Amino acid sequence: MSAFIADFRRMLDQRPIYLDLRGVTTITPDAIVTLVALVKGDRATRVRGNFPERQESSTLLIESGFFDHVKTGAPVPRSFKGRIEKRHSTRVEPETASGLIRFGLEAAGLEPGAHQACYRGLIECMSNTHNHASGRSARSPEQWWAMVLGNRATGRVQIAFADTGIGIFGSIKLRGLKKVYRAIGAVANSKILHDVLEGRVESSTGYPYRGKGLPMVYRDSLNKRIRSLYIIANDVFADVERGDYVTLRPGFTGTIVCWEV
Amino acid sequence: MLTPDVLSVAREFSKTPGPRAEAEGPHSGEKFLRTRLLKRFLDAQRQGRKLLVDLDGTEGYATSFLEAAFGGLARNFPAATVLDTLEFKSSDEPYLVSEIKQYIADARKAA
Repeated sequence: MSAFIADFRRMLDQRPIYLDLRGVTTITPDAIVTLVALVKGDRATRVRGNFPERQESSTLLIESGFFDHVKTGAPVPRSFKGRIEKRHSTRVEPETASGLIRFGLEAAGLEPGAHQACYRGLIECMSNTHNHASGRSARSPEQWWAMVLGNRATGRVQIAFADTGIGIFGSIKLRGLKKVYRAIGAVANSKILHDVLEGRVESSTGYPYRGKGLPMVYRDSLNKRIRSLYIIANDVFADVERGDYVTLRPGFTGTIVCWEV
Repeated sequence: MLTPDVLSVAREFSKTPGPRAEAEGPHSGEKFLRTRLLKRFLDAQRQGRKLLVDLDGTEGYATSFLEAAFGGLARNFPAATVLDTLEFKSSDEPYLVSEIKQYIADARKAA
């Protein structure tokens, strides 16, 4: 996916773009939320496209809420299973997080109510975007996109959060030996991400009592309060539940976090 | 023994607690500390009572909210005093109590 995103971003300077999705056999919420972030991002390049030929992928795209943000030539039915929200990173929005979760739980046929770990995950993601995504020199805030998709057949809710900012490794500040090792390439970002999640990397603010958000989401995953946690940040893909942290080539500019409940 | 005063986050502050700082968004931990927790903490101390913070009934808590509120309190008062005055109720998410106590201890260490 990172190669596709890199190509797509390059092509955003050449207009218009026709996005041919006919051959897509599998599409996941993290891919959908990233796609909508790219298509409807700050660059106003016109993007047209078609539907996947495989019915499951096409249906998922329609049900995800994708077309609440992207116009179609022919009308598509309104989605009652998925919802995508787009915001600028200037604000953390607790009510938006709550609304998304309740929508997802209802769409999955689960008891409507709170899901604390899920809520925490969304607030932490929004907060990270607010605090870090633009970097210190950025003039304008980044956008974030949050998506929820309820699956009544499995009774699961999938959540995906994406921002197109500078990513975790664009804002991270390593100190001591970690900084040296990273500078000489002796330690990969994939290892550093694991250290971040384990709470072994100090917050970029320099305050030791900060930077606890991602470690808590990680613990929520370890303790099964959320499931199937994936993080994509810069050149790292992490399947947290399986403990797989791999290097992406090419890398991704921004951060994607997704999980299930 | 005096019965503890009870401060319910959901009933007296918000069902949707937000981020750390007021500048980040609504219902922040800083605001909870400034507008609710600090006054009730001081009242409890004056009266020689405990303050029971009821965490139940909300949508959930970001770590930064909890740290800003309770760690923030412990940056203004000794951690031992904070821990001695506050009690917590968290039937929805029992593990939050140990998290908060850790934030109080870490805040003191960091300050």
